[in-house]
Amino acid sequence: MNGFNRRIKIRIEKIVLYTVLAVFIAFCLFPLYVTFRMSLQSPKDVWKNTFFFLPTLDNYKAVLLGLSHVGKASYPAVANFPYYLLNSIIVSVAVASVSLLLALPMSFAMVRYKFSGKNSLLIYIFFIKMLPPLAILFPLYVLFTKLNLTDTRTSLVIIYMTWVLPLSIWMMCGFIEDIPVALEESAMIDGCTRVGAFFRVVLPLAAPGIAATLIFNLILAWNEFLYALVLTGSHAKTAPVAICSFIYFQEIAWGCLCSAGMITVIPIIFLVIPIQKYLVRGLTSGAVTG
Amino acid sequence: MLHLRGQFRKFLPYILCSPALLVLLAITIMPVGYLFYTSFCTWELEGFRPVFTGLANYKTLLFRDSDFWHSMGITLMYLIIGLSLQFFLALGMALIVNKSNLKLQGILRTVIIMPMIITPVVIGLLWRVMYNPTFGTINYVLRGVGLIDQSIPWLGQTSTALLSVIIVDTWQWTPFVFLLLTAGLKSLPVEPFEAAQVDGATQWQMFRYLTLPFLQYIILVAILFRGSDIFNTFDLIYILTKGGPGTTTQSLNMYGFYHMFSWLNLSYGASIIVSLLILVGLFAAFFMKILRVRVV
Repeated sequence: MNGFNRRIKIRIEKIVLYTVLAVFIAFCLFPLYVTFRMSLQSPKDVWKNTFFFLPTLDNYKAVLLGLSHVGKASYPAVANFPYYLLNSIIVSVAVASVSLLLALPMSFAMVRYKFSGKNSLLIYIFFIKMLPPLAILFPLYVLFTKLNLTDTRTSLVIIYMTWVLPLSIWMMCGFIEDIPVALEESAMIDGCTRVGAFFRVVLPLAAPGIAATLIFNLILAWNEFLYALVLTGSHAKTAPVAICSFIYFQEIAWGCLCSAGMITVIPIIFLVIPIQKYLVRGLTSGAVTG
Repeated sequence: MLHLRGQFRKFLPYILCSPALLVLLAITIMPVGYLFYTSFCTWELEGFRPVFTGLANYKTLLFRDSDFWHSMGITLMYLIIGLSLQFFLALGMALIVNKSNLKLQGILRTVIIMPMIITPVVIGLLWRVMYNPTFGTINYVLRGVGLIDQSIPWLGQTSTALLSVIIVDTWQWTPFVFLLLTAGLKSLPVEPFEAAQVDGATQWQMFRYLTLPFLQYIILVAILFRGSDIFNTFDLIYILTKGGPGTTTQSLNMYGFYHMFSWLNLSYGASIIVSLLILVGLFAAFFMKILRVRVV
């Protein structure tokens, strides 16, 4: 009798668990589904809330080729989207690689060496991450205006570093901490210098972590909105700002909006899926090990 | 030669740190210093140069600007509701998932990571689609179920606007808190729990006196990350409501943004952002203090 009750209890627990999970997963994915569906609808279908419609790829075509019309509806703001997408790619690749290069030696030093001021450095980095973006944006905006740098990709790269760099230091610290010191020490016993051990032992072992950090940096820069909104005009505009400009005063280009949204999101998803395990590890390991 | 090598060794960590630190110093600390200076100035657009006027901005801000206090209230409400919603949802989920040895961990992680990595602008837009009173899914479903008779303009009325924004924020960031807490729960040592079980502790007692104290560092990290992000939320509010209707979702960050870049009161905006910065600092100091009290 007792065993029977316990089995029932376990089964009920399982049912509850999977229901909660299913709801949670649906909650996470539903908005994506809605966007995907709308990106396939022609301008006249968007307004009908039906589950059955004729899917078209017109929105994707307009956004990717920079056409300014979908069917009979004309959306002039869509015209330059491919160029802005290119801007986004250039800026985020530059930011991601430069901050990774700067973060690597620093996080190595922070994990492997003991030196005075180390703890205050950690706190300092954490506080930089917490700064209101406007506190940095406004003075740099003034500076960029004086240097004639507004509306250039360079200015975006510089200002994105202010929050990509601290986060990549934070992540890299976690990854380097995961590598046992013993491996480096044995390499040094075999005649490697400390720097040699870094290049021959730490770098290869940290490769997945480095890839995860690089991709995380890419995503951060790719997703940024406020800085790009203020600092760019027609020349260096990035994809998120361009998407935002699909909302006119008179109407909103819903179909193009959704397809442009999908286009900006899909590369991220494909980048993240292979390294998700390491990404989660990097985001949490800094926190777990402290 | 050996002596020189020793010297080099001693300075090596500083040399390794210096490139990143110098960059950070140049692009964060110096600008913040300039922001502080500007907040004590008056900045008319002609001449494009700040003129020192002492505490004038802060006097107006603290004693004559009701909008500032209104925005402060909005920010704190956003913080308290949003943070506790996200934290307790994530904690509940993490406890449920951690208790069972789940086979779908990989899929769960893939799905859960999605809201965190999607471009915030797109998230704002997609929720705007869902909240839309004419063709939005939320109203459609609620009407279909029969909970409401007429479509509700979720983002367009003062009573629901802030809550709608908070729900989107919760959607986006609960997974992050969940991941942090799950990682923390996985790294818990087993022995204390076995000992407690032998001594006949109840589930609640084990949670209260073992799990929570072990998790406190990671909880602090989660709160600091999320808290500072909520203080600094811009994209979501800008896309969803632009601070409206009226000023019902105008957080301090938005208010500062409008003063700086829309109404061109540069120095006044600077003083708003300085107060936001102080608020974030106080928030962080408060939670760090709580942590230290418990640790010692």
